[in-house]
Amino acid sequence: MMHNPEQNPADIEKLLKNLPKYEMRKAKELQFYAKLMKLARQKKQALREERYQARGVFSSFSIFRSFAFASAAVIILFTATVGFALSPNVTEGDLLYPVKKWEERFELTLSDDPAVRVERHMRFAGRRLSELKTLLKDDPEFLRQVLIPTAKAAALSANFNDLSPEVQATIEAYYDETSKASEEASKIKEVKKAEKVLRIVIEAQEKHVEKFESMIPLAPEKVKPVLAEALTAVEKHQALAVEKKVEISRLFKAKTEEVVLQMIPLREVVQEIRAQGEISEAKLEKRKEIAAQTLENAKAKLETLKQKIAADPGVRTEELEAFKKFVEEKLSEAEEALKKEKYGTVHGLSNATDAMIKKFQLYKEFKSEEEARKHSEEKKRIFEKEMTDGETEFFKDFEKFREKTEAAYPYDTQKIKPQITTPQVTTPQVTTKQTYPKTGAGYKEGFYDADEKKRLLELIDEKIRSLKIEYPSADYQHKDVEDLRNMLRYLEGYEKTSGTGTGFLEDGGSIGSAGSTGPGFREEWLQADLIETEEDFKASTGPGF
Amino acid sequence: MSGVKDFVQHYEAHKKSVFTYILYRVSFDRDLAEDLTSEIFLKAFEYFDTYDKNRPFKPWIFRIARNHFINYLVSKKSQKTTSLEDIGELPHEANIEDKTDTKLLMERMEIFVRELPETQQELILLRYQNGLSHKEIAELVEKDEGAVRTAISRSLDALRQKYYAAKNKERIPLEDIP
Repeated sequence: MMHNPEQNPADIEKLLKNLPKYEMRKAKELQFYAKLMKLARQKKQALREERYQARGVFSSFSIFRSFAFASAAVIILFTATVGFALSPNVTEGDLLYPVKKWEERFELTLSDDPAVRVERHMRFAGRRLSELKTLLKDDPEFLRQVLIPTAKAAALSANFNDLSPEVQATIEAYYDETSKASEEASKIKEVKKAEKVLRIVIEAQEKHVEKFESMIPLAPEKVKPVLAEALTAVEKHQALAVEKKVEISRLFKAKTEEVVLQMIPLREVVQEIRAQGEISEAKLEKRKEIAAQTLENAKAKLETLKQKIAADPGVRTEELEAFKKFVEEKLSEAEEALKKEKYGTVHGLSNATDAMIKKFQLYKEFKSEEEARKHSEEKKRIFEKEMTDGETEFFKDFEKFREKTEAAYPYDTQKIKPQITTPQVTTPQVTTKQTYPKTGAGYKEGFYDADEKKRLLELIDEKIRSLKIEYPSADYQHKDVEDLRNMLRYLEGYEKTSGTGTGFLEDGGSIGSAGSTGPGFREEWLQADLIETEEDFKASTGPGF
Repeated sequence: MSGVKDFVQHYEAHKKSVFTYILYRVSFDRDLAEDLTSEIFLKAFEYFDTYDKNRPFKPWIFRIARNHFINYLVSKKSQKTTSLEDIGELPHEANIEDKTDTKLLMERMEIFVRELPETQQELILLRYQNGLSHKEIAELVEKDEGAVRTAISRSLDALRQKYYAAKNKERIPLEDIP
C-alpha cells in the first residue's frame, strides 16, 4: 500500500501528499443539501410505496404491533375514506372542503413534535397553492379574459379586494399555514433539530416558489400582482431561512447545543413589502411639515430682501423690482403646491427663492452678472481642486483597506469585490452659460457645500480607520463593507444633487430633473429619519413627485 | 434505517477530496467543479444501496466521480471540441495566506502537477493526494496494476526533474517542508 522508496524519492512524495485540498463554497453546499434531502424523500416515498404494494394493507397483523403503526394505519384508512376530498381539485367553497380541513387538523393532532408540525404546516401550505391553481384555472373571469381580450385590460386596475372570496381565502390560508409553521419552528430549542427544520422549511419554500412561478403567467391579470407579492415574500422569507441555517450550522460546528430559533412569520414579511409600497401617514405628515418649514424660511428671506431693497435702492432698481415681483410670484406658486401636497415643487421653488436672494446680494457686490460669474468660476475652480485632492487621498486609503480585507478573507471578498467599486473622482458638471441666468446663485454661494462634503469624506475615512483596528469576523466585515458602500453611494448622490443649485428653469427645472432641483429634501429627511427605503431615497431628491 | 445519515457522513468525509480532484480536472473552474461535485454525490446517493459497506468508500466514490466526469467530457465534446490537454494559461488562485518558503514550494508543486498530462495528473492525484493504493487505482482506471505503478513512477520522475530544476534556480531550503 505504501510507496516504493527506491523509485519515488520521499521529498517529492511528501509535497504531493500535502498538496492543498479545496473546499466548496457554503452556498453551493447548501444547495447540494437541499437537493440531497429532496432526493432522499423521493427515495423514501418510493420505498414505502413498494412495500405497501408488496404487503397489501391488511395482509399483516404486525401492523398493529406498535402505536406508531396503528396511527399510521388509521391515517391510511382515513385518507382512503376521504382520499378524494384531499385532491387539489377540492377547493375553498366546495362541499368537501371542510373534510379536507378536518383531515389536516386531525393529522396535526398526531404529533407534538414541532419539527413534524412544521413539516405538516408547510405541506398544507403547499396544498393551498395547488388549490389556488385549481381556482385560478376554473375562474370564469380567466376564461372570459382568454376569450375576450379587452376584459383583461379592465381587470388590470383591480386590486386584492376585488378577487373572488375563494381565491382570497385560499391565499390567506396559505399565509396562515406558513405562519403557523414559523410559530412551531420558533418553539425549537436544540440546534440539531433547528437545522433539520430549517432544511424542511427551505425545501418547502423552494416548491412554493416553483408553484407561484408556474401560476403567475397563467393567472388572471388582477391576481398577478397578488401572486407576485406573495412570491417576493416567499423568496425573501426563504433568504431569511437560509441565513438562519448558515448561522445554525456554524453553531452546530461550534458544538453549541441550544438555540433560540426565532422565525419571522411570512405574513410579517408580506406586510413589510406592502409597507414599503405605500408611504405611511406619519411619514407624509412629516414630509408636509418639512416642506412647510422650507416655504416659511423662503418667505422670511423674501422679507429680508424687501427690507434690503427698501433700505438700499442700489444701482439697478428697476431690475430689482422686477426680480422681487418674480420671487413673490414663485412663492405664491409654492404655497399653491403645498396645498396640493406637491412637496417637491414647494421645495424646489423655495430653494430657488433662496438662491435668487443670494443672487441679489451678488448683484450688489459685483454690479454685473459677468463679474459675478467670473467670481463664481474662480470659486468653483478652487473648490474642485480641494475636493479632488481630498478624494484622491481618501481613495488611496480605501484601496489599502480593500487590499487588507482581501488578504484576510480571500473567498468572501471575491464575492464582495465587484460590489465595492471605487467611484470615479468626478467633478460636478455645471454648464454655467445655460444655467446661470435662470438658476440663481447656483454653485456660487454655498451650493457646492465644500464643508458638507468634507464632513462626509471624513466620516467615511473614520469608518475605514476604525475597520483597520478590528477585524473580528467575516460577518462583521460584510456589514461594514455594506455600510461603507451606502456611505459612498450617499456621497455620490450628494455630488449629483447638490451641484447645480436651484432654479426656475422653465423646462421642468425646479421640479423636474435632479440636476436643477438642488439638494432636495435629502438632508432634512435624513435628519428626520424619513429615509428608510430605496424609494424614500429617490423621492428625497425632488423629482420623485 | 438511516441511509441518509450514513451517506451524509461519507459526504462530509470525502467532499474535499472529490472536489479537489474535480477542480484539477476542470483546470480550476470553481463553479463547474462545484456543480460536478454536487452531481457526483447526488448520483452516489442514488446508488448508495449498491455500495458494499464492508469495503472502503473512497474508491467507490472516486469511481463514480471519474465516470461522471468522463460523461461530462463526452457531453461537452458533442457541443464544443475542447480538450483538457490544451489548458493553456493556468488560472491563478490567490488564496494562500503568507507566502513562506514551504507555501511557495507547495504552490510550485501544485502548478507542476497541473501542468502534467491529464492521465498522469490523475494518477498522481489519486495516489498521493487521495491516498488510493495502486491496486485501487488500477481498478478505477481499468488498467493493469503494473502499468499504473510504472506510470506513476514515470510521472514522479518528471515532477522531480522540474522541481529540482526550479529549486536549483532559486535555492529554497527543502528542509522546511512539513
